[in-house]
This record gives sequence, C-alpha cells and structure tokens, in this order.
Amino acid sequence: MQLAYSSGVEDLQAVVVRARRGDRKAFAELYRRFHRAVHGVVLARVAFGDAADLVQDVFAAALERLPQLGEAAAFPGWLMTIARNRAIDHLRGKKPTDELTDIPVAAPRSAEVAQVLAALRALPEAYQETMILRLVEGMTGPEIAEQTGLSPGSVRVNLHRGMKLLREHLGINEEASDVG
Amino acid sequence: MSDDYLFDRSGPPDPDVERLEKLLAPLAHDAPLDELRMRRRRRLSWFVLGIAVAAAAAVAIYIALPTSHANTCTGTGFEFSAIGGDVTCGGAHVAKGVLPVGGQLDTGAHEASLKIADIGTAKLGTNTRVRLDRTDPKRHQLTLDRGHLHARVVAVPRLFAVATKHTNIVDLGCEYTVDVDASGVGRICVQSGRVELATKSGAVVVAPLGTCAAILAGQRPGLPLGDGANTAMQNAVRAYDRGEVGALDTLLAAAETRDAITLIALAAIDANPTRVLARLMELSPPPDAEITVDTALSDPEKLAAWRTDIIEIWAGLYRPGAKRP
Repeated sequence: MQLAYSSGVEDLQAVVVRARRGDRKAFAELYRRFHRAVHGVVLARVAFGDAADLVQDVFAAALERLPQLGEAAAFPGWLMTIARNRAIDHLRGKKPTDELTDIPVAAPRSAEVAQVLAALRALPEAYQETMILRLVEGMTGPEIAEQTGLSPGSVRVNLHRGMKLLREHLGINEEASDVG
Repeated sequence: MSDDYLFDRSGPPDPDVERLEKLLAPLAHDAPLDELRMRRRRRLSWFVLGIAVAAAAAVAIYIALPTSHANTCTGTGFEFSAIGGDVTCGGAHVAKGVLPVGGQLDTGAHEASLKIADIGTAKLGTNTRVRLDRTDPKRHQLTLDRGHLHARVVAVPRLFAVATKHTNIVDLGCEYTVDVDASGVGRICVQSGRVELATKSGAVVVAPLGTCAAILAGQRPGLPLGDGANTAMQNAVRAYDRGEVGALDTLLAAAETRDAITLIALAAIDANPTRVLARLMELSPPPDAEITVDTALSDPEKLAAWRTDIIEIWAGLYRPGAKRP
C-alpha cells in the first residue's frame, strides 16, 4: 500500500515537471486529477453558482505561476492555497447570493441540498473542506489526503468528527440510523 | 458504526453517508478545462509582466520621492487609531484610518487600537503587523504576521479569528493575548472565555481562560497549560511541545487534578489518547457514567461533554492572579 502511494507521488511530480516546461497535455492531466479537489475547496466558501467559474480561474492562475513553484511535490498544497485565496478574494465585497436558484436539483430537493451545504459550511474550518470533498466530490479519504497534503490519519479524524457534527446540525440521530 | 465506509467506502455502507452522497452528487464538478481561458491567460501573462515591470518602476520612484503618501486606508474595514505616534497603513504614516480588506497595518515603534467591526477591539503592540483578510457577517479575520495582539470580543463563537503562520486562533467568545515572532512561533494566553487553536493539518485544541499555550511551527498546536501549574508540569508541557522522547510519560506523571485542562487537550492531539484519557479518568472523572475511555475515544460528542465538564470545573477553580490552591 505504501509503495503504491509513493509511486503515485512520483508520477505526480513527473507530470508537474512536464507541465512546468509548458507541456499542455501534462497541465490537462493535472486538471483531470485535481479539478474536484479545487472545486470542493472553493465550494466550502462560495456559492455553488460561482464555484465552477472559480475552478477555471484557479487553474488559470496556477498555469501562470507554475514556473514559480519550487518543489514539484508541493503542488497539491500550493494549488489548494491558490484555491482558498481565490475563493476568499471572490467573497470580498460580494453580496451573498441565493444558492437555491443555482443548484442543479429540482425543488424540493434543492432546498434540502442548500440546507446540507449550509450545515457543511457551518462546520469548523478543519472539517469543512474534507467533508465537502468526501460527500460532494465523492473522493475517498486516501484521495483527499493525496490531493490536499493532509495525512490520511488527519483526514479520517476530520471525517469522523465532521460527520458527527453534521449529524447534529441536521438533527440526524445516529443510533436510529444504525437500527434502521 | 465503523467509519470505514465514510473514509474509503470499505466496510458496510453507512445509510446517512450514502443518503448525503446521493443528495449532493449533482453538485460534483465535472466541467472540462477551459482551454480558451488558459491560452488567453498565458498571452496576458506576458502583457501583465510588462505592465508589472513598469508599475514596479513607478512605485520605486514614488517611494523614493520625499513627499507624504496619500492615505489609502479609508473606506470599509476595521477602524484604527495609533497610540504614541503614527503607524503605517497602505504605505502611509497615519494617526488613524480604516484598515481595508487586503490592507496591512504596521505599528513600527508605536502601538495601535483596532475596532473589530462591531464585536470587539484589539490592541496592537509595537513592531506588529496585521492584515485584514475578511470582514462580513459570517467572519471577521485578521492575519497576525508578527508582534503582539490583545483582543476582546463579545460575539457568537467563531465569528472572529486570527490567523498566524502555523495556527489559526478561533474566538469562542473571549479575551486573549497573542505574541508571535516573524517565523510564526509564539504564545497565546486566554484571559476570559475560550479559544480554539487549529493547525492546518486539522489538529484542534481548546484553550480556556487562565491558560497559555505555545504557538508552534509544525503540525499540532501547543498544549494549554493552566496558570499555577506546578514546575514539573510546566517543564513536561514544554518538553512535549518540543517533541522530546518520553515527554508523555513525564507529563502524565506530573499532572495534578487542576491539570485536567491540559490533559483533555492532549487527548485530542496525542497519538496515544487511550493512555491520556485513562490518566484523566483518575484526575477528573467524566460527569456521566456512560462516558468511559472507550466511548470517549469512539464518540467525539462524549469527549466534548467531558471537555466541557473539565472546563467548567477549571473555570470554578481559576482565580486570576491567585496562588496555586
């Protein structure tokens, strides 16, 4: 397991190096691997309707700054920092939007989706992103760890505690769920 | 229920997780890369580089001129007043103004008072640099690059936060003092209420009134230590914060009843929480028979209830400035 993980890291570094040299296919590969993680990080902060556009913005900024990235291995954390900063910049001076109108789900499910999203965003910062990456983007814990730079142990703890708090926020009784 | 499904989809599916996954799946991102925007950005970047070089030259000339700078620190943000002499905001030396979002305030040889929106105040010491990251109804956040900040906030928990290089300090309704050096290492002392110290790795501890904690470079926050802790405990916490081998044993042996406040934080970040909780069980048993070492380990709610109980006992014990009981 450890070997497979290490091998994945090396592959990523090779892709980053190629992208830094201007290889467009390599950059597209980076997008393919990281677009969900970037979307999750952005969605933890901005309305759903704005998130997709910001994802493109994050990758455009990354493309521009890639030559300045020192260590190829630092790419995941570096990209996530760009995503967080872009999301925060986006929020500055922007009025809150009505998320319900943007959610691609028919009413009344859209109201429930908006409620769950709001509950996810109300979680402590440490859990918000991890929970959104898991529940919205469908990433597994090991994928989240690899793409955000967190350790797998931290991701597991964040998911466990985040899910507990989310259940509380949403009024879900865990014991009842277990029985049912 | 096991967390295996939540973590990596192994093990029996958790019905709540499955339901939420299904509900939220339509929001997942699946758009392709916008090649056109990338190409445009690349062409623009050369153009922007030219503009940037010209702008940098203009700024250098502007700074070199012996004229006073215009005050860009106006508009929406945190109001501030310099104490003892002018401070620097947006490159200008000013006696007062407004620190805007994205703006930076340097106190230099003087001090400053800062209004934290309508929820509190902060006093900045000398040689302090802060930046305003955000101010809106959901969050007011400063970054403390270096120096001394004393904050007093009356607001709902989590509305105000101070980011430092290694640790984010989230206000849970309180008054506290933070000192960090340029490398982001320092110390926080809480005078009332409590704060949450969270590192970027996700490690979180709660520091209540009457405790101080180191702000460390690394993956975990420093341990809060109550005022009046015995010398052996103080040394043990410092050794633990430095990551010394065997520090956990020394710390658990040195801990007294009043140090439960440190142990409950330790249980949240140590690799061996079972040992910590077992010691805590001796020093400050939980308020409820249902809370055991095992249930506290598996159920964050139970651990939180135990923590609340310990903080309440500590708040009853703690008297500012009083000698050790």
